[in-house]
Amino acid sequence: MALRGFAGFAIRKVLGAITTIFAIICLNFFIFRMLPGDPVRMMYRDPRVSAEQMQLMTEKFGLDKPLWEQFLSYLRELFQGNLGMSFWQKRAVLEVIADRIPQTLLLVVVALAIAVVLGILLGAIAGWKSGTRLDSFILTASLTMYSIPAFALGIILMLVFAFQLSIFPLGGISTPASGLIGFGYWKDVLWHIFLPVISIVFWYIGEYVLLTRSSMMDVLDQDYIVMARAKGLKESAILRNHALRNALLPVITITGVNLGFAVAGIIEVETVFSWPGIGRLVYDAVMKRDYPLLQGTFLVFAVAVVLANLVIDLIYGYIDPRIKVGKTE
Amino acid sequence: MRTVRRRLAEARKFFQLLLTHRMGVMGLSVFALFAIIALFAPFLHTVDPSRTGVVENILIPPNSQFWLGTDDLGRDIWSQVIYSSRISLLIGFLAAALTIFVGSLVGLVAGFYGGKIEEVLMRVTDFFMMLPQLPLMIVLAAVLGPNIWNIIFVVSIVSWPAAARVIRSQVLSLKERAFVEASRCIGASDSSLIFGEIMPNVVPLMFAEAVLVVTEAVYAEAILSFLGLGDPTTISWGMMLHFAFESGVMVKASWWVVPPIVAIIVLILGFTFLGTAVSDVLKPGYKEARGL
Amino acid sequence: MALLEIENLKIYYFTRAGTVKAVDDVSFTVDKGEALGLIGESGCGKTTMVFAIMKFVTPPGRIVGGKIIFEGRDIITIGAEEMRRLRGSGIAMVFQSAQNVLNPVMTVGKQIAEGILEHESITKEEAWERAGRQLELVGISGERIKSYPHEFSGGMKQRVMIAIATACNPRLLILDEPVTGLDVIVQRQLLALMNDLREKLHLPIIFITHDLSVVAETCDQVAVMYAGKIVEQASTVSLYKDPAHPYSQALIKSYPSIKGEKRELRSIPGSPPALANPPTGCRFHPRCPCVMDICREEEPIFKRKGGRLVACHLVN
Repeated sequence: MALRGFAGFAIRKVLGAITTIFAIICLNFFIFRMLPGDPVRMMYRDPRVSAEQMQLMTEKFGLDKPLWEQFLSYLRELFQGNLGMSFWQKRAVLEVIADRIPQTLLLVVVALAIAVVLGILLGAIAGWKSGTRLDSFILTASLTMYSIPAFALGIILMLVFAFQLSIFPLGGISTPASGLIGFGYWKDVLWHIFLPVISIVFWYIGEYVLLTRSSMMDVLDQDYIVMARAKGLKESAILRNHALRNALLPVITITGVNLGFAVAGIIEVETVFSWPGIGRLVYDAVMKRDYPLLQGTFLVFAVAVVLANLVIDLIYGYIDPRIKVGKTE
Repeated sequence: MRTVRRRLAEARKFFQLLLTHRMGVMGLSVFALFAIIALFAPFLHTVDPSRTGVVENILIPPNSQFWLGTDDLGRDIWSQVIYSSRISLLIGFLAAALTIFVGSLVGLVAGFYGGKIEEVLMRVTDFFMMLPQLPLMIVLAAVLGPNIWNIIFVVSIVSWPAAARVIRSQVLSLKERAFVEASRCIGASDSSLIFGEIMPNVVPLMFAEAVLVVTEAVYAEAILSFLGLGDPTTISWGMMLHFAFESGVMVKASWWVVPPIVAIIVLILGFTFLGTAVSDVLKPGYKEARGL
Repeated sequence: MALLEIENLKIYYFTRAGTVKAVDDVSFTVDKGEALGLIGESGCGKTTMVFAIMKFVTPPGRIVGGKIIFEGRDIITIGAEEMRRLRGSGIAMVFQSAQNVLNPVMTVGKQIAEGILEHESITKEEAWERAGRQLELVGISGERIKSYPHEFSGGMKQRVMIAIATACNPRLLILDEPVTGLDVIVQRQLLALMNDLREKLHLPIIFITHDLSVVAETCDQVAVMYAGKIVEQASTVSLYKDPAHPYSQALIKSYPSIKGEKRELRSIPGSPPALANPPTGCRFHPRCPCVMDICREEEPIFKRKGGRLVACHLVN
């Protein structure tokens, strides 16, 4: 089936995403039911568990059934939206996670928006002026920012700005029991979100600067840049229409890959700042040995990354004329 | 024997080139510093880092007896920091070795044989690359249990795809080059081609990737330990931060928290700089641009 | 007054490995309506020279001496902004086809129109209309202004480039190996197009190539360049019939001819010198079959002899 241009591309990408999601689901099952340390089996060796409880659990988890039947019922439950029951909170995992989504979304959107815009801007400048002192400075600064783990930065920021200098709160999303609503509430949230955002943004800016810079440097080596100069175009027009447009294409592609790192940043920062999002849930699940919850968060993060990648791939396919228009010659 | 000597001479030249690069010098110095600290830990620490129980020693800021103060169980922080370097470097290098081993194997085979083999291998590689790294590491570490070997394994699972891709694309471009054709013409076998001709040209790239993986491994160990998935029988910077975080007095005991963070950042920064230097040195035309 | 006068131009590259004398004391002129061919082997400095005419020489290269007089003004002395306005509208350039000279994410129409919009104050609609007409001029349907470069073949991309270069009606057109790397049929079509345009637009051109047969089809005058110096400048006919300089003779002899007797192809022994350390005296002397003692010591002067200019001790 050789569909031309964007339609063919889009269909291929969607099919790819579906296959990947299915593979993730299988992986999830494998990790939690088949690995040596698998928590369900572990419960069998726990002497505190009585015989009746074991029988109950065996039936509940279907451990006496053959593996493929277990897999099928796992799939069935998944499609019904049943991600299991959280040990710790004693309610459906899906509910627990759903409650936290807005807070994480807020953090992600704010942090990524700032990081991507600043990172690309600084990276483009550094690439355009490569070899100058400004470029060296931006390069070194970005390498440094890129090397500081988000949780380490978060702890330091908390120490200095929240504790020592008391400029920002120590954690959470809003001042508890403050009764603020409307604009006042959002101001409070802004005050709380400041340090977490900086902690995530640091690494991200570093990454985007390095990426954009190197992409820009590659583009500036290209012949169409010389051609643009030969036409007598202004430098600003060359930068905008010829250099930047081409330099940004690989950056968009890598954005998809980077989302996995965004997840890491979210987990780290939400943990340090007790931000009530899905990332913090991961930490809580680990500390409380709540395996269903842990499994659920992994699934949610992995699928979210796949879907986000799909969206980015589709956007890219639409922007790049080589894909959008396809070869007609 | 002759080729071994030649390779050693090439390696030596490579390191000399690294030393002409400012970041190369910084990176190698950081590595040397931590290697020395790790090796000489028994001589550098002041107090047995696991010694606890002495109530009046709890949470003391730095003084002449405890150079960096003590934690909430009265353990000496300086000694903990010293000994932690061993774990970080050990995990870092072992994870890098395993990652490069697996990644290179996949990359070499996929790049060299092409066709169906390459397609299958690359699909698997791409799948693993798509998985978000930290959640996967956390989940695997939680299920497999907290010990050093699991951490090394988990880090490698997450890092090998990137190495495999890089190596494969290098193999692809090497395959096009004349010397491969020439060797085939004189009847060289597949394995002698792969290991004799292609791999030596891939080794510098493997080294560059290895440096990157060390930074990822140090980071991974730190964050996994911080989240409570570290090996409780050992002490590491991440574990120190975990205990500090859990203790509830983290913000009041900056001496507890700052040293491990500084150590982590310096080590990662050093190897990042080293990685940048390595990739610059490997770019064609480096020697000419420097007038060497 | 000649359109373009190059006087004693020197362009050196100052590298850590030494000073490369890419263009060393070169002089020639291009008159209005004339087509000058510039031939030479790779690395002889011809591209560096035309890059200098566009003032594209970047560090570590520098113009260290001489004049480039275009329409009576020495453009070496003019400022960057003035030069920018001259590019495209006064002097335009067409590049080699193998290169990546068309921006892959911009329509060809826009790539033609942006030059026009920069140099002339007309509306966007007018510029797009002109772009369409430019495409028609080079033999491509005007509707394709909305197409992207990857939708064209190599030969058509060259036509687009010519359309771009001639869009602002430049007074001088430089073509740097425009047909190199294309198959002969496409070459033929493009050369026919260029001759056609030259007639229609009365456009003086400088045509750089290493291919003698191409020059024969398009140029009135030919300058032969070797190791950073011009060794002979003559009309095409006289150069081909009766080359004066030993290097020109060797070049002509190394080309097979379909008509005439079959003879052994003779290549020129040796290889071009490294321009960081050129030979003393005449730069061709190590490879010259008629070398004399004076050739090793003194550089020959570029002198007029019998309707052409030659730099050779033997001839002069």
